[in-house]
Amino acid sequence: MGFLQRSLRARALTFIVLLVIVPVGIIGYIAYNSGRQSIENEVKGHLESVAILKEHEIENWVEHMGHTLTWLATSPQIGNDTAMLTTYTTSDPEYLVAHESLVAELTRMTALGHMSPVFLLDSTNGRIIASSDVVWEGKFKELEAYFIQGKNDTYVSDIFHSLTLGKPTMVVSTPVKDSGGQLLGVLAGHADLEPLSEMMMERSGLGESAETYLVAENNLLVTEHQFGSESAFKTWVFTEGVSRALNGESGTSLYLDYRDEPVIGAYHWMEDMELVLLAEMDQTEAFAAVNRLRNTIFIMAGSLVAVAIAAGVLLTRQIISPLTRLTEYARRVGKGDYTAEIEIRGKDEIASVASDVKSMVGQLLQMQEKLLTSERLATLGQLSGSISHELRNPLGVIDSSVYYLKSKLKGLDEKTLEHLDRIKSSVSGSTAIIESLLNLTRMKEPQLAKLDLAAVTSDAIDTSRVPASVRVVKEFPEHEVTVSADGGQLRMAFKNIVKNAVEAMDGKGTLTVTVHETAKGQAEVTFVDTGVGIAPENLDKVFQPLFSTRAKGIGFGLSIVKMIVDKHGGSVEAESKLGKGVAIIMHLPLYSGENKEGISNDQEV
Amino acid sequence: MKKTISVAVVVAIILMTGMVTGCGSAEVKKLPDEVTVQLKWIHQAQFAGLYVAEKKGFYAEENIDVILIPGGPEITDGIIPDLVKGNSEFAITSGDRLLKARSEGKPVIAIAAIFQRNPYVYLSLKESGIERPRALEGKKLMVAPDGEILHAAMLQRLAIDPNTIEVIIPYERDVTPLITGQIDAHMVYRTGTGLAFDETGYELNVIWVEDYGIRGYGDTIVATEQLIQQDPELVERFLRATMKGWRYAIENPDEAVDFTLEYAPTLGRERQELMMEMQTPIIHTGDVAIGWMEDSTWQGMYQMLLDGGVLAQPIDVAEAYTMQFLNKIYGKAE
Repeated sequence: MGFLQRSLRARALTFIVLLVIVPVGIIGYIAYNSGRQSIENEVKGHLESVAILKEHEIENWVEHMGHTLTWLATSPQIGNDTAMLTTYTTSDPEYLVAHESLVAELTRMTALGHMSPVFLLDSTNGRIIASSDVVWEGKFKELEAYFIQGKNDTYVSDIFHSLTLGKPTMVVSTPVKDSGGQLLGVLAGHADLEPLSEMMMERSGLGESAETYLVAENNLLVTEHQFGSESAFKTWVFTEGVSRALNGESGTSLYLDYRDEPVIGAYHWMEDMELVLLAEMDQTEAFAAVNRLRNTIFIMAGSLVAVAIAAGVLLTRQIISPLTRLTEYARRVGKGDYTAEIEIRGKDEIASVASDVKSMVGQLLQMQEKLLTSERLATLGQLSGSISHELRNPLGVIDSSVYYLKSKLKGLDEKTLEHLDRIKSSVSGSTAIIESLLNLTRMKEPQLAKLDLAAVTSDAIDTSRVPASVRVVKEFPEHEVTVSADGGQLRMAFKNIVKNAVEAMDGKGTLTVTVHETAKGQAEVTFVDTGVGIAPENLDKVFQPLFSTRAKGIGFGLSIVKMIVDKHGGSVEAESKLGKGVAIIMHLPLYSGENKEGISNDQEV
Repeated sequence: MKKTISVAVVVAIILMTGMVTGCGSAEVKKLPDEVTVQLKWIHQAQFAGLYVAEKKGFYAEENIDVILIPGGPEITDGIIPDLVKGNSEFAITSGDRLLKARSEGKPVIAIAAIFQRNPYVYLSLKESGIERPRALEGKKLMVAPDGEILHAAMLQRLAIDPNTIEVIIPYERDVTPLITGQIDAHMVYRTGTGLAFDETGYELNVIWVEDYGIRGYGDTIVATEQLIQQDPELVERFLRATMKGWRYAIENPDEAVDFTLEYAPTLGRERQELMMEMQTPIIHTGDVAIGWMEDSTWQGMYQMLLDGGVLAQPIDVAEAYTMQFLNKIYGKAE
C-alpha cells in the first residue's frame, strides 16, 4: 500500500489494469456461466431423451419376450401337449409324442424370442419337463422366483448369474393354463442379454464420452460401460446418480461417475425391471466448447492487461518523466544553480506547469537582482550620507572662508582672484554632489498630491540650467494630465533627466519633452535628446547607481529617477540607439479621486 | 504499539481455540478390537475376501485387528466347538455343519452365507455323455464324504435307485480315477478338487446338484449367540468389512489373488486364479447381495439333513441364522 501511495506510476497502472480487468472479468464470467448453463441444459435434455429412448427400447425388448412367451403359452397346441405330459408318464407313447411336439415348439421359440433355453416347468414341483436344450430337463427350479411368480402372471426376473449357462441371464416366465383356466405349467425362457448390452452400448450420437448403462438394485453393473473391459456383473456402482435412482427418483444431475470423473448424468429408475438406467457424458467433453471460451477469455484478458500495462507505462512515462525533469530542475535551482535549464516539450498541462515554473524562476532571479540593487543602494546611501554630512560642514567653512578672503583682501591680483573663484566653484560643485547624495539617502516616502504633470515638467525644465544652444521643445496636451505625486520628488527626477540629456548632447542639440495620457490610462512623460546615445548592452544599467558612461558625474542621476518613479508606482525605461540620442520614457499612474493613498495624504496635509 | 498488542491477542485466541477444539475433536481413539477368525480350510483364494479386507485396511477402518487362522483336515470337526469355547470370535464353516451343530445344542448362528450355491458337482468326461443325474445309473462313482447326504438326497429326489450306482471307496481327491477310467463320474467340491480337473485340459460335463433341488449354503460365517447378544456392533463392523472385502475381491480378482498369495506363498498362482474365477458366480449370484441368505434355502437344507437322518434332533431353522447384520449393512428394513 505504501508503495501505491508513494508511486504515482503504480497507482496509475493499478487503476488502468483494474479498469480493464473488472469489465473483462465480469463479461467473461457472465459469458462463461451462461454458456455453461445453456450447454448443461442442452446436454441434460439430450441425455434425458436418450435415457427415455433406451428405456423404451428395453421395455419393448422385454415386452417382446413376454408377448412371445404368452403367445406360445396360450396356443392350444402347447396347452394340449402340457396336459398330456402331466397326465401320462414318461414311458407312455402319448407322453413321448407330446414331449417331442413341445420341444419342437420351444426350440422354435428360441429363434423367435431371443431366448435360450426355453423350457416348461411342472407347476406342481418346479421341475423342467421339456426344454429346447434337453440337458436342462429334470432340473428343479421350484425355489426360483420366476417359477413361483410365473404361475400367476408374466414375470421378468432380476438379472443373475446362471451356473449352467456360465453367464449372467434373465428369465421371463408366464403361466400355461388349460381352457378352463387350470394351471398346467410355467413357460420360461432365459433371455439372451446380448441385445440388452447392444442397446446400451449403441452410440447416442452425443459425443465420445457419452454412454448408457444399467445398474441393478444392488448397485451391480449389469451392462458393460465404455471405460473398462468386461466390468459388467463384477463391478458395483455407487454414484450419486445410482443412489438417487434407487431412491425412486428420475432426473439429471452433475456428479462423479464410477471413474470419479465429473459427468452430466440422467438417471432413470425402471420400476418394473428394478434397474437403474444411466446416460452420462463427461463434463470435460460437454463443456469443452465453453472451456475453450473460458481459455479465450483468459487469454484475451491477459493480452488486454498486457496492452493496458504497456499503454499505462507509456502514458505515465509521458507524465512522470517531465515531472522528474521538473523536480530535478527545481532541485538544482534550489541549490543555487541558476544555470540550470529545462526543456519544455509539448503544450500539455505539464508543459504549462514547467513553463510557469521556469518563468517563476526567472522572476525570482529578477527579484533577487532587484533586492541586491536596493541593498547596494541602501548601503551606499548610509555610507555616503554620513560622509556627506561630515564633508558639508568643512565645505561650508571653506566657502565662507573664501568669501571672507575675497572681501577682506582688496587689490588682489588676477591670478589670486582666479584661484579663489576656482576654490569657490569647486566647493559649490562638491556641495552639489553631496546634496544629490543626501537626496538619494534622504529620499522619503512621496507626499502625494493632485498635480498637473505638464506644469511640473515645465517647471522642472525652466528651473534647470539649460544652455541657449540647446533647444527645448515642449509637446504638452491641451487638457490637463493630472497625476498623484510628490511634486518636489517628481521635479527632482525631471531635472535629473534634463541634466543628463544636456550633458549627453554636449551643450547643443534639441530636447523634446512630451506629456500625454496613454490609451492604457497612464500618464506618460518622454524626454528625447539628440545626444550620443547609449549602447544597447548598457541600456539596462543606466538606472543602476554609480553607472556612468561619462567622466563627469558619479552616476546617481538616473538611479534617483528610478527610485522616485518606483516609489510612485510608475515605471521608467530608456530606449536608445548609439549616436542617435536617448529617449527616457516614464509612466505614472493617473490621479484618481478614489485613490486611498492620495486621500490619506491629503488628510495628512 | 496498540496494534501490536491487539494482533498478539487475536493470535493467542486463535491458538487457544485451536488447542481446545483440537483436544475436543481428537477423541481418544479406542484400541482396535482383536478378532480371531477360524477359517474352514487352509489359506487359499476361498477366503480372498477376508485377505482383501485385512490388506486393504477395511478391518482397520472398522477398528478391528483381525487374525485369520487357517483350517485343515484335522481341524474341521473342531471349528464349531472351538468357537463355542471362545477360541475364536468368528468361524467359517459349511451351512450343513452349522445346522448339525445347532441340532446338537451348540449356541452358534450364521450371520452371512459366502457361498450362495451348493458347490458340489459331478464331473465326468465329455465323451461319457453323462449330462444329467439319471445318466449316473449303472455307472461307477466316487462321492465326497461331506457330500454323501447331498448325493443321497438328490437320488431320492430324482427317484433314482441308489443301488444302480456303484460308489467306489476310498474317496480320492485326485483326477486319476476319472481320467484312467477307474470311475465314470467324480463328485467333487467345484472350487476344491474340481479345479484339478480343469487343469488337466479334458473337456468335462458338469452336473450341479443345486440344479436338482439340492440347495445349500457352502462357506458360511458363524458366531456364537453370546457374541451376537453382547457385542452386536462388533459383529456388524466385522461383517461390513468382510463384505466389502469380498466385493473388492470380485471387482479386482488379480489383486485378490495377490493378497491370497501373501497368506499362502507356497501355492501356485494359476490354481488360485482359477479358484477365484470358479467361485465368483457361487459367491456373487448377481440377483442378491453378497452374503445374503434366504429362508427357503435354509429350510431346504434343513429338510434334506433331517430326511438324511444326520440331525440329532429337530430345530427351529429361523433361529439358526440371523439377517439383522446383513439388513443393516445393505440398508434394508428388517
